[in-house]
This record gives sequence, structure tokens and C-alpha cells, in this order.
Amino acid sequence: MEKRELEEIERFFAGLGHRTPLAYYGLPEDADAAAIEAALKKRRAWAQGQQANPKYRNEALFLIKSNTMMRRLLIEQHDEYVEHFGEGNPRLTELNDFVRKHLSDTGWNPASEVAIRALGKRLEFEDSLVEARIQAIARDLNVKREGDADLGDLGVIDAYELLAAEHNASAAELEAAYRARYRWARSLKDHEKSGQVLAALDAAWRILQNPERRAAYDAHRQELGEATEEVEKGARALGELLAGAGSSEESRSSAVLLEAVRQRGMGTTPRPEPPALSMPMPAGSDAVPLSPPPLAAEIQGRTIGLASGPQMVRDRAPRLKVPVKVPVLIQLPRSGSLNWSLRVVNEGQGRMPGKVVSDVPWLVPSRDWLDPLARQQDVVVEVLGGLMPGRIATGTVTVVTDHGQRVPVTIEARRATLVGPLLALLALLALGAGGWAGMQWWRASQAPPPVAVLRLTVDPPAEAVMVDGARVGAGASVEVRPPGAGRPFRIRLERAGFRPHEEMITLGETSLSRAVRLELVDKLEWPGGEGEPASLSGSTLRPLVDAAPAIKKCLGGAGGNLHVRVRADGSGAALGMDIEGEGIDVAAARPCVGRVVRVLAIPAAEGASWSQGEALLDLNGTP
Amino acid sequence: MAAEDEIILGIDLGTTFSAMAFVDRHGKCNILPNAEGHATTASVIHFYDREACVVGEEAVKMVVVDAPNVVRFIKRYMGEPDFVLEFFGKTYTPQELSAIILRKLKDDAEEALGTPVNEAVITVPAYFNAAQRSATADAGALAGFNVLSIINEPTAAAISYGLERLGTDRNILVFDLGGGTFDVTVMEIRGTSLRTVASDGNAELGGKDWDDRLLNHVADSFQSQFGLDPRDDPQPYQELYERCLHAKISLSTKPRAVIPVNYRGHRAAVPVTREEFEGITADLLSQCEDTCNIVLEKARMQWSQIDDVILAGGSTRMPMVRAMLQRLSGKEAVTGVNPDECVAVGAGLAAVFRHRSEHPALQAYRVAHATKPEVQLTELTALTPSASAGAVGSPAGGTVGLPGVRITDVATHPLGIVVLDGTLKERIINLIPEFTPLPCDKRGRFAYAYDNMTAVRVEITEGHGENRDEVVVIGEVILDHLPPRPRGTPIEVVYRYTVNQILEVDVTDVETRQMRRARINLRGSINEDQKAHARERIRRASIT
Repeated sequence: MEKRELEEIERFFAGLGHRTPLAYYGLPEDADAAAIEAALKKRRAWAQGQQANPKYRNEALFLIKSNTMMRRLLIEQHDEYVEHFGEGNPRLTELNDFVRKHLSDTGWNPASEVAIRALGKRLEFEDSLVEARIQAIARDLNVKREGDADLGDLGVIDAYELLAAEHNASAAELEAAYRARYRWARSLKDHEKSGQVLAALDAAWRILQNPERRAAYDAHRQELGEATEEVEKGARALGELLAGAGSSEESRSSAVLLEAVRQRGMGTTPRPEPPALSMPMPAGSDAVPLSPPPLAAEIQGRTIGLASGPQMVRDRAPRLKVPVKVPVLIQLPRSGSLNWSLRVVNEGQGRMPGKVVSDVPWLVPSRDWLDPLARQQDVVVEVLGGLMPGRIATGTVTVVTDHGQRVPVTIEARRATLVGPLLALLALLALGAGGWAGMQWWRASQAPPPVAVLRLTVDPPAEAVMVDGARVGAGASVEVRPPGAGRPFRIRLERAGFRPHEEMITLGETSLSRAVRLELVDKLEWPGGEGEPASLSGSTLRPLVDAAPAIKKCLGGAGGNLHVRVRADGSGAALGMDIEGEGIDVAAARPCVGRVVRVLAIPAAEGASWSQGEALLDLNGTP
Repeated sequence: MAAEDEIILGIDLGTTFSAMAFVDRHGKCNILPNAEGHATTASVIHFYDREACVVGEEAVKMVVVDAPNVVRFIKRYMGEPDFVLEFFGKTYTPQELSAIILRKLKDDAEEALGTPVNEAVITVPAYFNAAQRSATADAGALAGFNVLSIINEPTAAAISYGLERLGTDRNILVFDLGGGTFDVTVMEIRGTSLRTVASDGNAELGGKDWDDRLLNHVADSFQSQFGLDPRDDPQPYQELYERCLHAKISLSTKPRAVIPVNYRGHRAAVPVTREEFEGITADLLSQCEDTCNIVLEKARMQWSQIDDVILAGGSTRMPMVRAMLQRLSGKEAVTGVNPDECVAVGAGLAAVFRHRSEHPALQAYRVAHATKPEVQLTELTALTPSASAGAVGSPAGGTVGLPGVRITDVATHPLGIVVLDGTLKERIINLIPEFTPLPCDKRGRFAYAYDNMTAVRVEITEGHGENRDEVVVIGEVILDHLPPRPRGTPIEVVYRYTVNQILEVDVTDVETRQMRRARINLRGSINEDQKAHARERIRRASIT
């Protein structure tokens, strides 16, 4: 029972002048279950008759509303009752002290259990109460029962698989399964192995035999439905092992079983509650949200939740960080290569599998995968001067995690010329002459000359920005480094559902900013959805209908009716549209409508891979 | 789809009494008497055996004999999840008990009309919250009704009253003091549209509280005389309660009443004058007065702008209530409507306006006015209340059938969302403000509060307030399996509140278009399995 509930009960009965609930019911503190049941029933009937009575209303309502809770406290979980309301009960204090002393001195083993039980019997406590006290105090003291398999919190191990039982098995079926398993484990010839298996079985059975613990376990299990791959694998291994072992093939090692169990138990840290939504953003705008103050270090990079709510959420999200200032400038010796190391940090939690890729042949990562367990790792990138297309070349090494985070690192390499060493010599001479100005000049000559870049602003954000067929980035604003000064190159901007934009560009010494607007594909290539398209409701297309005045304005005030059909893929991105018009120039209307459709937010329809909807825009009525 | 003339029952499910009404082919809305021939049915259940019970006056009589097996005032406990009563080893929730009352009404209606009656519109106090509305709708479903909508009691009362005054521009105040609930609503009649402007009330204030005051008064005076308290024993308490209830009713028409008390061999007759009664209940009345003033303030009106005050609910028969309203408004309350029946009548009418656009009565009206649509309003204006004396829409004064009426209800509680502000402190943002006309569709854009969140939880709140303690969280929607992204990632939340008082909430991840939709209200409280089981139980139960 929760502390809150216990306190509520205590407050209520204290308010009526009774120290304990049983005193209120007129029963002695050691009343048996039948007497308590009878008293509860009688008082409840009284409450039902008196619930409208102004004098007893509050009391009667409390009894009616808390009936289940009281029953649970007084009968089903009597030990909790004794624990909470039995303060000052000398017998209980004696038992508690004894248990605490025994567990901390000798640990929790069969011998200490026997001693404690004996005392419990002498003090006339029920076995279940003594057992509960041992468990509660062991929890407090963080003492584990000797011989228990360490099943972590038994959070991730599938106790059902251990018993080879179905998840929805009844209590009787479970017990039968447990007994069968137990007999099998006892029959193992290897005593050590047998002991391990029995311990694991015992732990699983402790959970499953108690309906409440089983329910809690089930709830926990479901949440872990999408546990990580390793866990799944572990589960399969365990299942296979048990299946094999069940057919008395004892050559397989039970140690594997326990190892699998341990692995799955790993990382079962208590989960925080689900995260809260969020900060409001100015309604109707895509503006940046109110930026919160810097977060405390310990809560950064994980999900944070509020205090209530039954659902749990995975908190272990890795977070990629590449602490390097881009572009990276690398000065190569005149001929030859060097190794440059790229530091990759996991700032979040959990595993961070991923890879490192390069888009040019002269940048070669020494390995293309990330060590998923490393908090911090260095990936050596070999810069091969000989393969560079010119003296100065730009390439990108991109770190991509399997969680979808990516950090591109642009590397600009320059091969040294003969001038370099000459300058160095000159500088040394200048230094030798004590010329401080010479030093300044040396520094200046080492600083890279300004490189012209192409700054692209893409609306909507491009899914891929390619330079000469190689992907260099994505997003709403991309900075493209030309392959070489004065050399023409081809950029291509892509986004699903929009016409790709291609352009040849030659950059001179100065940088260039360029805004590109991607146009929606005109005619629908009906996306091959599986099954019927989900139909988009009128409210979804409401913004489109509401935009009629803007469209009319765009058309220079022309009237008429427009039928607009819109299709979207499963992710909700608009794939295209089709227009039919009455008394209107459809060709002229297309770009106008397209601009609206492009930014239309279409909720993904559940269970359909694509959706389709139609809206009628009446341009006659609008001013 | 049901036939256009299939009957929809308008049901006033009250704390102490319930009533039902339906619109006939000619557009007249009739109260349907129960099997015993009474216009109203006491909302009281007596269980005399396992799954066997009596509803109505018979049950009221049994309260003195067998109080633990009698259910009264169940409406006050609607929407309370922990409130469970037990009779003959079977437990019942407030929904199931209300369903038993509704089953009785349904059976009686079918008996009287000779046809199955499957559809209903049920009224609730305007101040009922989402959980209470939801429980009421559940009760209707358990009783075997297809509940077409839930409407507010004052709105229904105003419809039954305002139908005769359509075509005029009037502001009306509906003062609804029932057996257990209290509501004040200001409504506007503009042509053929009825609009709720503001509403407030108390779901736990009603005639019962007046009874209790009288009971306490009598019991105290008995106690001072004999040192014994008749409230201590269930049976004498129930007897005394019945006597006080009747004394309260007679004090409405007579200056003095005597309440006999008989307890443990002692007898007393406690006299109570109307002045005394008004004295011990003065604070209850001033609560009502405060509520009226608050509602007017919310409606941004003065008492002088109120054209009519309409009374609904039996407790408005008390002279003190009428005197107070006269003092406040400076005019007599409207007497043309029957306070016990007008809510059910209004519900019956609203059912037709809302769910039977092709009802024969509406058709007849359209045909009659097809040639002269301009005349419609003037003709209606001529229809004074005395001309039709409660028989709404009757073919008097040249009217045939029912005119089409537009009813605009409002959200009576603000609905909001729990968010974190710039300092990561919780606060509430109201997406649907109080008195937003229904249906409404409000959206708000929010964002990840932290980096790498994999799920967002939208907690739906009801009530006024800036923080969690001041509001009630009525539901939550969790959108999970989101890719981890930086804070500021936008999330869109849409609240859609329909005229049937159902709230739909969509939570959409703007970037990935993942969406989760939840329905709070009609189908929120218990799951379908439990519901089917309970429905079967109510169907099987022997109800007489």
C-alpha cells in the first residue's frame, strides 16, 4: 500500500478519535480475518444507509469509497497494517530488531531465516508477516538472499520463459509449469548447475506466485516490449537453451543460461517517469521556442518526467557530439599523407552504434564503425595527399549514429608547396633578426586565405544537397564549399515530393548567397500505397480552404472554383497535388496552390501507408 | 440511421426526480408519464433481492424500513471512481445505478408508446465536469440507449421556454435549483438562435441541503430537550428526513409547519416557521445570490439587461428563492414553465433540432412557411406565452410544426494543458477558454522541453488555475517512440470539443507527422469489456 493511503486512513480514524482502524471497528488488534470481514461488512451497510445523513455523511462516504482499500489493508496485507499501526507494539519491535541484527550480522541465508522464523513463532506472528518483515528489512539494508540468482531487479528477464509457461497462463498452469521445471532441474546430474538453475527458478517463481507481484511484473514486461536487440537475442538464446535442456540434453552449459540472464539484467536502472511536454511556442508560428536556461548537467541528454503517470519511457538515448570546429583545415606536407584523429563523444546515455563515412577518396577513416559502448573515441582519418584533386581540396567525413544523429565534418586540406619551406626559412631569418613584425607576418602567411563559399537557403529544407553528385549536406541552410576556386560545379537540391533543383555554379574569390525555392511536383505519381488510401478529413485540409483569399490574391483577383486533390505518404509529407478548375486558369493557379500545399501539415493516418483528400476552394466569394 | 420520426427521448436525470419527454409528429413536446402515471419518477432505487430492485415512489417508502439497500442522490456521486455501493453481494457504480433508473424510464416509455425507444438525449447540470458528463453518458449506454448527446440542463430549460419567444431579442437568466445541483446560466435569444453566454453553479448544492438544515435544526432541538440524537440511528433518521422534506415543501405555501419526532420512546413536535427556516438557510441562499452575480459579471451584463428570469428545478418553489430573484432583477420570475418538467421538455426539443433535421414537425413548419419566409419572425413574435400556455410550438396562432432553431452551447469549464515554462516550471495553458461556443477546434504548438525526449505526455486539464493543484487532470495522451531530437522540436496539440460534449485530443509530432488521438469523455471512463458486462447486468436485472 502506498504511504499516502496509509496516512489518509490514519488521519481519518484519528479524526474520529480512534488510534487504529481496528479500534474503530470495535475489534481487538489481533482479530482474525473472519471477524474483520464481518465487521467491515456490517459497517459498510451502516454507511450505505447513512450516506445522506448530514451528521455522518463524511464518515459514511469515506467508508464507502475506501472499502476496497480497507479490506486490502486489514485482511490481505495485514502485515502492512501491523507495520504501520503497530508502532509501539513491543512484539513487533522485538522482531524487527532481531531481523535487522541477524541480516546485517550474518547475512540472509537459510540459517538466519530459520532463527528469525523461530522467533516469529514464539512471538505468535504469522509466517507471512515474518516473511514480509525479512524482505522489507533486507530491502532497507540492501542485503541479498544467499544463493539467489542475481536477476537484477527481475526487470528484464522473462520469468515466464524460465518456467516455459505462457504469459497468460493461469495460476494453476504456472504452478504446474514451475513444478515440472523444478523436477527437471533437480534431476540434473551436475549439482552445481542444478543449484544455479534452481535458484533462477526460485526467483522467478517468487514473482509469479504472488498475483500482485505478477501483475507488476507483467506491466513492467510489456513496457520492455521493445527492449534492445541484445535483450531479444538473449531471450531467444534462453528459450533455445531451455528447450534444449528440457530434452535432457545436458551438454549445454547452464552457465550460458545464467549469463544470458545476467546480461539481460544489465542496465535495469530505475526509469524516470515520462517526460513532460514542453514549452509553448508562439501559436501559429514556426518560430524558435522560448529558450530555457541551461539545464543542470545531470538532466541533460535524457528524458525527464513529472511525478505522475503510469507510463514509462525509455530514457537511454545516446547523443552524438563531435567536438571539432568546422571546417577543419589540414596542412599536408608537400608529398604524402598524415593521420588526423576525429574525436567522437557520446554525451547521452546508452549505446551509440553508428558509422563514419567519407565522401571523397582521399579521406579514409581507419574504421567505419563506432564503438557503441565507448563514451569517447578517436577515429583516425587518413588524409591521402596523393589522391587529392588539387593542391586544395575539400571533403566531408560524416559521423552517423543508428539513432539518426549525424554530424558532418568538412575537412579542407592543403598540400604544402615549395613556397612553404622557403617562407619558413625567411621567417626564421626574420626572427633571428629579432623582428617581431616578422613573426606577425609569419602568422599571417600561415592563416588560410579566405575561401569563397556558396550559402544556400532552401525552402522547404532540402533532404539532400549534392555537389557534383556527392551529398554534402541537408537542411534549410547549407554552406557549400566549391571543389576549387574558379571551377564550375553542379549543385542539386532534393526533397521528396518536390522537383529537384539543379544549377551550375562557378565561384570566384567571393562568397555567394543564394535562396532556392523548391517547387512541388505538378502531377501526382500516385504513390504506390498498399491497400486503400486513408482519406484526409475536411479539417485536415482546412488550412488549404482557409488560404483561398491568399490564392485569389496570388491569381490577381481572378474568381472561380478550384478542386484540389492532395496526396500524402505515410509520414504525412505532401507528395503532390492535382488541380481542376472551373472558370480559372489552372496552369496559373498551380504554383499558387502549390505554395499552400507545400506547407500543409497532414497528420499521418494510422494504419495506412498513404492518404488522399480533396478540397473545394471557392474563389468567388472571397474579397 | 434511424427513421426520421423514430422517437428520441429527452431525459432529465435528476438528483431526486427524473422526467422524460418526446416530440410528437405535430411538434408538440409531451412529458411522458411513468408506468405509475406520474410526470416525474423519484430517482431512488430499492434493492429487495439480488439484482432485483424497485425504482420510484415505492423505493422512497422503503427507505424508512431498509435504508442500507436504498440508493438516493446517486447523481451527486457521478464520476467518482471510488464510490461503489454493495447490495446483496453485488457491487454497483454510480453509472450502473443511474442506468437502472434510466432502464426504468426506458421500459415505461416503451410500454406507453408501444414501440422500442432506443435513442435519448440526457441532460446534465451545466457545471458538471468532464468525468461527470462521461459517467452520465455511460449510464445511458448501460441502460441500452444510444445517447445522441448530453446537453446542459439550463440550455434545455431555456429551449422549452424560449421557443415561444423566438424572433425577439431577449437576454434570459435560467436559475436552476434542483434536488442536488445548482446552475445559473445567462442565454441570448437572437431571432432563431439560442446562445449560452455564461454559466456557473455548484454541482453539490440543492434542495437536499435545505432539507439537511431543517433536519439538523429539528434534531438539535430534540437533542437539547432529551439528550438523544435521532440522527444516530439509521431508521429514525430516515423517518425524520422524510418528515423534514415534507415540512420544507409545505413551508413554501404555509407560514408554519410542525415536525413530529419520535425517538427511543421520546416524542416531540418541533414547530418551524417560514422565517426560522429562512434564517437557518440564509447562507445557502446567499451562495445562490453570489453565483448569480458572478455569472452576470462573466456575461458582462447588468441585472437591468436581463429580460426574463426562468426558474427550473423543484427547489425554486421556495418563496425565498423567488423573493431573492425579484429583489435582484426587479421583475417577477416567469411562471409559464413548469420547473419540474421544463428541462425534460427542452431536452426532447433539442433532440429534434439537433438530430432530426427531417423530423415531420420541422418539415411541416417549413412547408407552412415556404411561401412567406419573411413573415416568419413577425408571426412568431405575435406568439405570446399566454397564447400557447406551455404547449410549445402548438399549432396556435397560425404556426404549424416546429421552427428550426440553432442552439449554441458552450464549454462550461476551461480546458487546458500542462506545460513547462521557460524556467521548466509547470503551469497550465488553457487551450479552450471558458464559454467557448461549441463545437470548437483549438490548436496550440508546443515544443520539447528537453533534449532527446523519446515521448511527450499531454495532460488534459479542466478548470481555472495556473498550476496543477488548482485544476483537475481529466486525461492524458502519450505520444511515444519519437526519435530523440533537440529541445524546441515542435509538437502540435489540437483540442476538438464537439456539440455532444466529447473532447478529442490529437497530439502530432510536426516533423515526423506521428499522431496520437484520444477521446476524453463519453467513452473514457470504463473499458468496453466492463461496459458490455455491466450492460448485460442492467439488462438482466429485474427492475420494477
